[in-house]
Amino acid sequence: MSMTIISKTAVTSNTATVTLSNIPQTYDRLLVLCQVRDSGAYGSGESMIFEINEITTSGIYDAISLESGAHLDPPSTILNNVGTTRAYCGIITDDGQTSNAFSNTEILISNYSSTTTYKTIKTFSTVATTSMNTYRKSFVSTGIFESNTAVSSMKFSTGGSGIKSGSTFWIYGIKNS
Amino acid sequence: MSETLTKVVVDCATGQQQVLPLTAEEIADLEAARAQAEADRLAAEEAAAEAAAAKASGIAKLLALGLTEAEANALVK
Repeated sequence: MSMTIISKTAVTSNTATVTLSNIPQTYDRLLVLCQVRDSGAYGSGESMIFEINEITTSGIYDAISLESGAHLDPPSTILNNVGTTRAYCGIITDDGQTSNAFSNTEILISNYSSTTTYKTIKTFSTVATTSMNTYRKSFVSTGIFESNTAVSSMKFSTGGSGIKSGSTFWIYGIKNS
Repeated sequence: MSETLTKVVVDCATGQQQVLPLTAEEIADLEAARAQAEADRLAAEEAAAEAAAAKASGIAKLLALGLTEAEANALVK
């Protein structure tokens, strides 16, 4: 297996969305690392959302999502994102929380360049600030992008005010051999 | 004056990065996405809280029947 960085995007001023477009189709899997914070001062964390290929018809199906944290005890098992164009892929810190605490989310897409099969998606996201009792949360999900179209772009946004300056996105291509 | 909403678009093949203003359609779309995401999240948290409350209530009733705490927890695990 070999992994190659495709691009690194550092957001230099607050923005509503970040789109990674024209993704090369020469790998077997994609790994996207997101270090993100919402620019709003909510104090309760925010959702991170992603779209694939900016589709306008339902195409993302989460089979299962698991979420736990200071505000969710015991861990919950939920079904969501059923047949949606946008998927809730993680939880992020916001400007009402510990300064400069960015959340970390990883997204893995298998067979992303296939034009004959659906794609499987796994997301992993954890937020931790400086106090375990103030705010912490973990989120994992696995699901399907129900499309035979290759994944050529991914768009990220938040459920709050937007993506804060200093947020960074890395996208890697993985080859199986 | 309200802040102009922007989007960052990265061409992964060339590395070129552009910062562009959102169109009115994109702003409406974004607001809809945010509302849906927040509704989904609140619904999930509400469901989790309800499940936790039901579990605690169930354990309390089992304890009242004479089960030990370990037995009650094992049954509702």
